[in-house]
Amino acid sequence: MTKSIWASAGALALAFLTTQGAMAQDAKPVRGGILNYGVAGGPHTLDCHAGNSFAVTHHLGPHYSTLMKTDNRNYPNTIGDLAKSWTISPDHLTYTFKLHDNVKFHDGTALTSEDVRASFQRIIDPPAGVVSAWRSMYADLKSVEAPDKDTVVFKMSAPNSGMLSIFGSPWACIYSAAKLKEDPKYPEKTVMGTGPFQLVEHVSGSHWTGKRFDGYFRPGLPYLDGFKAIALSSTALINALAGGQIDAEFRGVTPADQQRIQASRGANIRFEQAEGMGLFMVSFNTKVKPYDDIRVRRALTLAVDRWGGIEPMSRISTLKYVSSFQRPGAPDALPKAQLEKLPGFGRDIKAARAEARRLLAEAGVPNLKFTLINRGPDMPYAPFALYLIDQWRQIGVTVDQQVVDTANWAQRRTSGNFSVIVDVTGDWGEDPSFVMARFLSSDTSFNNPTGFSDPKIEQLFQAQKLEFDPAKRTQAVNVLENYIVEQIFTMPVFRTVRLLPFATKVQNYPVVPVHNWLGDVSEIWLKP
Amino acid sequence: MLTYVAKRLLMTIPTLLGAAVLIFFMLRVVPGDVIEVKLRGDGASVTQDVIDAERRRLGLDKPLPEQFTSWIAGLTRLDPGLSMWTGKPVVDEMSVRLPLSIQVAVMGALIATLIAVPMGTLSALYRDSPIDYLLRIFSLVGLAVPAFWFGMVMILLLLWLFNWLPPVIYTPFHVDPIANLSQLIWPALVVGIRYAAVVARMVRSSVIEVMKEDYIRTARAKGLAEKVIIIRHAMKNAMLPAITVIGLEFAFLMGGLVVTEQVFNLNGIGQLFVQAVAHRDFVLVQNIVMFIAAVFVFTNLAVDLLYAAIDPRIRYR
Amino acid sequence: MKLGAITTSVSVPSRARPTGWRKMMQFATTQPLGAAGLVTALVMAIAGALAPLIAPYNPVAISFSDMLAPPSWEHPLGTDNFGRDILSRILYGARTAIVMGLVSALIGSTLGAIIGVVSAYFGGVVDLLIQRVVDIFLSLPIIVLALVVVAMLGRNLVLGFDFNLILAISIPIVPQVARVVRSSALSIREMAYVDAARVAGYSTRRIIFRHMAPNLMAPYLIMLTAFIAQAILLEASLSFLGLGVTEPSPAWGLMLAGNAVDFYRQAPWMIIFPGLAISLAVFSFNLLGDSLRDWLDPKARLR
Repeated sequence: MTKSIWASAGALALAFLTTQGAMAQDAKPVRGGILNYGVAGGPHTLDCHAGNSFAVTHHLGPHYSTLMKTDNRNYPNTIGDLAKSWTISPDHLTYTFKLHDNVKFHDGTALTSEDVRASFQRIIDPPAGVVSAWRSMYADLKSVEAPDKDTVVFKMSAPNSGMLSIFGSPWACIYSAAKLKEDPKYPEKTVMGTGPFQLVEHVSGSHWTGKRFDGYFRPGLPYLDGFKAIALSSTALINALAGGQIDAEFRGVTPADQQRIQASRGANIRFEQAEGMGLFMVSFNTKVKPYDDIRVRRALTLAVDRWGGIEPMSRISTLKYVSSFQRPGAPDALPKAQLEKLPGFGRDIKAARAEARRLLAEAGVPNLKFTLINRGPDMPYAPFALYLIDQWRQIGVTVDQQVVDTANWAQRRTSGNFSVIVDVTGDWGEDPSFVMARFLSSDTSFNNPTGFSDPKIEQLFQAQKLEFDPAKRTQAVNVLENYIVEQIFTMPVFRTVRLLPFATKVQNYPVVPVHNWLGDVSEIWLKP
Repeated sequence: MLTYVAKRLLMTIPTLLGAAVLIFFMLRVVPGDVIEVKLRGDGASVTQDVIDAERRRLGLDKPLPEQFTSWIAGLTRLDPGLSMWTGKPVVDEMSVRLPLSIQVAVMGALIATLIAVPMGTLSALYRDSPIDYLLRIFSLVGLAVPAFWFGMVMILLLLWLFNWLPPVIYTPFHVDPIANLSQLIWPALVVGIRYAAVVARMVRSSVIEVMKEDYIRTARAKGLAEKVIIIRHAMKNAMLPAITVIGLEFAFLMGGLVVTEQVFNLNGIGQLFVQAVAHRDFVLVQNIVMFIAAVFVFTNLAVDLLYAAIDPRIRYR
Repeated sequence: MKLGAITTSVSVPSRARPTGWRKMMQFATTQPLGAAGLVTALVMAIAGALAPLIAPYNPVAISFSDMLAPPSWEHPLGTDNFGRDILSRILYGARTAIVMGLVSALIGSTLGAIIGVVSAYFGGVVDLLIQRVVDIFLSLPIIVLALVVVAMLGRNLVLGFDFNLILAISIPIVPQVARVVRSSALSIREMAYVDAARVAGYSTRRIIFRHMAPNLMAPYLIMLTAFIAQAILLEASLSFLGLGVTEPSPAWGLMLAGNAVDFYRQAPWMIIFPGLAISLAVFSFNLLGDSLRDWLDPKARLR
């Protein structure tokens, strides 16, 4: 029975994407209306370049354009946003973009290539006092030039097969060069971009409203007159959906929430889903005994029955897929047959548990005891850890959980103050160069908390990064992923589903895996 | 009297300063910092130099005594600084949320008074009778039910019975009283019922106390009707301690809002406090705490002064 | 007269009271409500202590096949979203609640009482200093103080209980008890026999422990009982906010935390029973405390 989950998940996601596309063509969009949606958290910054959480994009997204963007109808392809067309030099070292010529900022000034140049310059070489959270992602970028009004040229210091999708980052908002010149920190105080909506009001901790920008460059868009993003705690968010006070939420709810909302709203609500980007993992501190011993780490990953646990877990949490580092439906994901050969992903849990016990005994820690550091109290951290603890109990390992808040968790994780910690990724994009970067050796990747280093990982990573032929690249990525999973410094376990609720009137929002990107709000319309 | 007031006012200074020292240094021991939450909480690829630069920008690299004195110096100029989380002035962040919290607290106090005064008086007059037991049990139940559970059950009942929920966005009373009340009446009820339990106990014991005073006996001896005695004499005199409790509990209430606002998702000071602690927004936390402490200290002072002004038996020290 | 944060001033018992069994019987007959509270509290404490013997299931074992089962003979209070038996979790939760409540209230009240007596006995500068510090702590709301202390201290397991959480709950209790005990102690200090003892040249320690302490037992006991109730409530609130006891340890507040509320339609028993358990525990200790005050405080007894 569990066998089919994997296949059906992918099929479902695909089927869903196509029906959405069809729906959009069938019905004729209607202009007008206000979309009320909930966001579980306020933005900690108004500057996209400094942002890194969904709470930032779910507020700022509608106000800004980016050079490129992810194609939500043909996911995960990258298409132009401000860019009308582009060329890549044969050596993959020069990217030339032509911009749309009718783009206006909310203050009425026209957008030129200088604005794009200044914005990217701000990301790759931030002036003093400006935070560029994603700077390291652009490490291969050497220079940005604006040779004429509607052309931007990027020069690379090294080829990078993931570069085009990196240009589609939702964090790379394009700001006004003129205003940046006056004050490089203006985006922290004012929301002024070229996006489909203008900011009307922001009441801290309460709500954020936008109204249609009539000068938006894509003809006929946006359909909505405006939107209201309402800040709600995660429990209140579900209540608000059940009470019909909000029309949508873009991060995702659990199947239990779905049932609850459905029971209250009946035909007034529908749910759509895709495989999510939240990957729940366990990281080991390989500098601490006995986790420096791969046998111990191997035993701990073998003990977790992924295939047997995912179905019940999917009923009580947002976890829905067994997954390694790449999303199962991603273009470069490990083939299922290959995945099932990896430690912890096998189908025979009895054999795996026996092997795990044997390994622990061999490593001299048959009655291993440890404290699992978990981040609380959000979904799905709690059920995830409970499941792990129960699984480990079955091979004689006693685990005590310590739940700490995000601040404490982040600090412990980065400072290595843990033995075993619940770890998570929630990437904004799919490209392997981006997804796999955090699993590079600890001495190269500041985002690998495990202290594990192995030059072979870097070699394999470089190999896939320099591979531009899609089929060969998939192969190279598979080799890399396979190798990293086998080292078990971080063990991937379950992946989330992105299950989105929509009031029935909300139309034309294709659900894609990424929740850190709001998607295209300009194309949403409301059925009268 | 004036010197007494001045003396009492002066005495608030060491208390408030002590609270400031306490909270400031306690917070600095809390593990985790705002920049890591901001930039690494969601797993962005932020390098250490970005973190260090932010730390410098927020002045977190300065020695603690220096940070402390600059905060206190700011407070004396009524400039508590900028929120480390949003970068906005603390004054702005707090003033957006204050009206809501104050309204819930005031409504809670009103509800409490309306319930507690008749309840406590009845309880006292029929002391040790079944009425007294019933009312005492009621007030003890009010104290025992956890606010978060009461609120949670209330929301779920509203949703289940009426398929309706209170509005999620705060509307000031003067803009739309109905929208305002339909949002805030529920948390005010939760707060008020609990608070009524405390006040009722106080009213009960002070009425009992007053009833055995000489002047009540005199009134009885004069043959005044029991109703007149109770309302004119007993109630009037018993109200003083009751007002005291209402005043003092009002200050406590500001702290008690932490849980209630969380359950009802109210954008008030209590929720801001919980969020600020989670974000390690020390500047915001310490200012909220100081605000609540100041409210407490000054309500205390006001109650004492009122007491002194009304009751001639209290001598100024 | 000085009005502090706590207005429940407790005066000193002056009559000799009956002892032992007769005392208990007298309490039970004059204070039937209090006796009921005492019995309920005792039953809960015993149930918590005997949880491993009487709980039908392992409170932490996940059993997905029993997920969200309604109350039945097998699971009298139903099961939660992990198929864990709610009755067993409530029984083990009683253990957490009572231990946390009792120990925090004991530490807080005892420390508070000592500080109060010291402050009252020495008077002068010592009293002034202590009272200023007490003022400072009193100006911070209990939950605010507890929240910061929890965040500050982290976790420190002693015999399976988080000792730092106990500290966080007891710290806010200290100044409140200190304030009340001080005022009671002040009135005792003024009494003739303490003066006599001092004149007779008894040591400070002897005066405090032999002469003052026994007379402070009444206010101390009353406050202790009241603060057990408060501590249980505070522990539940902190656990509910995700800052107290952590999973998988069974604790009542924790059973309501996180997304438990999502199951209110499918499994209302997940919401109802833990809430009732907290309320009942707090209620019974409050009832006990209230009646103890009525019983021990002669001022309130006069008609």
